[in-house]
Amino acid sequence: MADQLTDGPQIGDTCVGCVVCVDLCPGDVLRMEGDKAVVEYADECWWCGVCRVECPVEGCVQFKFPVAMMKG
Amino acid sequence: MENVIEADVAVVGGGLAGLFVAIGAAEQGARVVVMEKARIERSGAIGGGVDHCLAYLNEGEPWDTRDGYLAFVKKAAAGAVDIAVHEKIYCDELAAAIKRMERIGCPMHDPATGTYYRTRSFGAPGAYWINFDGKNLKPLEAQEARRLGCEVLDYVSATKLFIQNKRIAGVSGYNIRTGEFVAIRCPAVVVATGATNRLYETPTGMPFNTWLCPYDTGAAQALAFDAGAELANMEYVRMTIVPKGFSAPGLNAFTGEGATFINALGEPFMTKYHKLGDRAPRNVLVHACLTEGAEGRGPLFLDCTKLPADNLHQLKTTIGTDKDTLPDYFEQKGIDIAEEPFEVEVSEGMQTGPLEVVGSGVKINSQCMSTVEGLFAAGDCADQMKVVHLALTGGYAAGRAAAQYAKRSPGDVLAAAEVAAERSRVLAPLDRRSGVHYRDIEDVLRRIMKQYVGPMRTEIGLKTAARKIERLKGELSNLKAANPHELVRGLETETLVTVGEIMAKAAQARRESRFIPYHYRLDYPEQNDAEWNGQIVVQKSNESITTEFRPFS
Repeated sequence: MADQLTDGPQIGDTCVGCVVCVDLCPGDVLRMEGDKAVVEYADECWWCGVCRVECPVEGCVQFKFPVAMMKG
Repeated sequence: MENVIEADVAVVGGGLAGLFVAIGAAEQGARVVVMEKARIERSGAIGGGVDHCLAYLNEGEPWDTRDGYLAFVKKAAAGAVDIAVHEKIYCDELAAAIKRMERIGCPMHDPATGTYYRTRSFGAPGAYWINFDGKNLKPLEAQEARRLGCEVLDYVSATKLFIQNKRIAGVSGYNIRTGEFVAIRCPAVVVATGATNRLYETPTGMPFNTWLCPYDTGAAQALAFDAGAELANMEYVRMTIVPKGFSAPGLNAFTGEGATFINALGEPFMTKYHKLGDRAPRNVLVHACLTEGAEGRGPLFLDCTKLPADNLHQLKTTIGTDKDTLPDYFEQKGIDIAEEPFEVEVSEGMQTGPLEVVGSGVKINSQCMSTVEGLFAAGDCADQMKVVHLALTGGYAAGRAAAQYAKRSPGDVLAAAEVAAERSRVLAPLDRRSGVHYRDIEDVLRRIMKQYVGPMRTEIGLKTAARKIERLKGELSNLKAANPHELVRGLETETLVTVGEIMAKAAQARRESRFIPYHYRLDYPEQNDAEWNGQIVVQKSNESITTEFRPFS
């Protein structure tokens, strides 16, 4: 489980704080922390990619799949 | 009473089907309120995009006509499909639904040439699948629903349907962000919350790594059942085949473009199981993979390396339309589908219709109404709807029918005391100092479902499951939630438990096998059309679950 806490959608330093990903995530897994979006419930991510599709900053959102998905 | 909204039609679930319900109802002049636990612009099963829709288009071949299509459905979905309902909610609506897609800005043909990119898979007699770019279908649909004046309650999860004088009086909901409790008084409710996808243990052990949307947790089925509505086709556990490690959609695209399954001996094997081979019905593909594995010929692979360049190009450029992150996954795992076969596995189970042309859930008539007056169902939670094509057609038809019903029904009293009691019930987990986390209950439920209500079932196993779930239910009164987010997850746990118990009971009642392995009874391993060509209908009666076999007339 430990890896799932840090894996999932990765919001980069280029986040402009527009809140779009937080508002549109169908799983309600993202939150604002100050003026940046962060992943609050990474283990509830469905990998649907909506956060990246809607992010206005190219390359800001990336995905890191956990060991359970990558190595099994 | 605070926070009571008046409406003609309330739509529970603002996914692909729910928004077409809203559009259909609003076009009749109804006051429509949509209740959606995320944001309608990107919520539900296809919020991140979709790439295929099933249709006959009358382009010349006999299979490509209404009659050809109905002949296919009648044969393929025997025992589950009500063909009169299907004709009404799909065939009668199809041409208008295709035009509607174009009108809202998501045409399914190539705008440059006017032609459709069509593929054949899953036992169909011809190329029924239209491959199209539905990446932005959801925001376009949401824009149309808002333009028509539908009131949208984003972030609100439905908790209960209220009945008065045996008909619908309203529905309540809880806001996942603000913690507010709301109620809608209305003569018509259309439930459209999709399938039940977080119900079975997944191959990776990660409960949200599911083929279809893990936030679809059977709310409509459970709420309608509690309101007294009949459910049908609930015995089938649907599975698919996914890339090893990632429960993601894509099988239709792979087999539609001509990919081949191979086993650990390097041999193609699907023709052993079905004359259509890799283009066999999905349940046959799953059964074949389970059998190959059980007989020691796994691991199994999908081979795209011999595909013609055009098909390979189409696959590579569109595979991310349906599942946005699948290309990332392949890349990070070092998989190039053009270079070598990639490993696949059978997915987790889920409660949803056994075929692409028939559903599972709230039993509906040709007006999309359930057996409770004023309660309608649409999309994957209805027993006669399924996936994109029926969300487009049946969703719109359900909205229109609900609006027409609302015009002639005055509605009923929404009892303030009942709403207040529901509010207290819903909020209780926030006040508990100690208790059970939703995940602990769900993990047990998922194991029970996988072990006893999975692809191989027996009467004793199913009874064991029902007994265990009955005991597990007691834990729901100890649910503890730290915040509104966890509270909504807990509400989802409640509906998952209800659906799981219903499935175990429904599967006991069907003493034959059908759509193997989706209902494969080891104690009744054969399909028996003489006795079982019809539905298992489930209903709540005196706080317990009753089942009844009902043949199609």
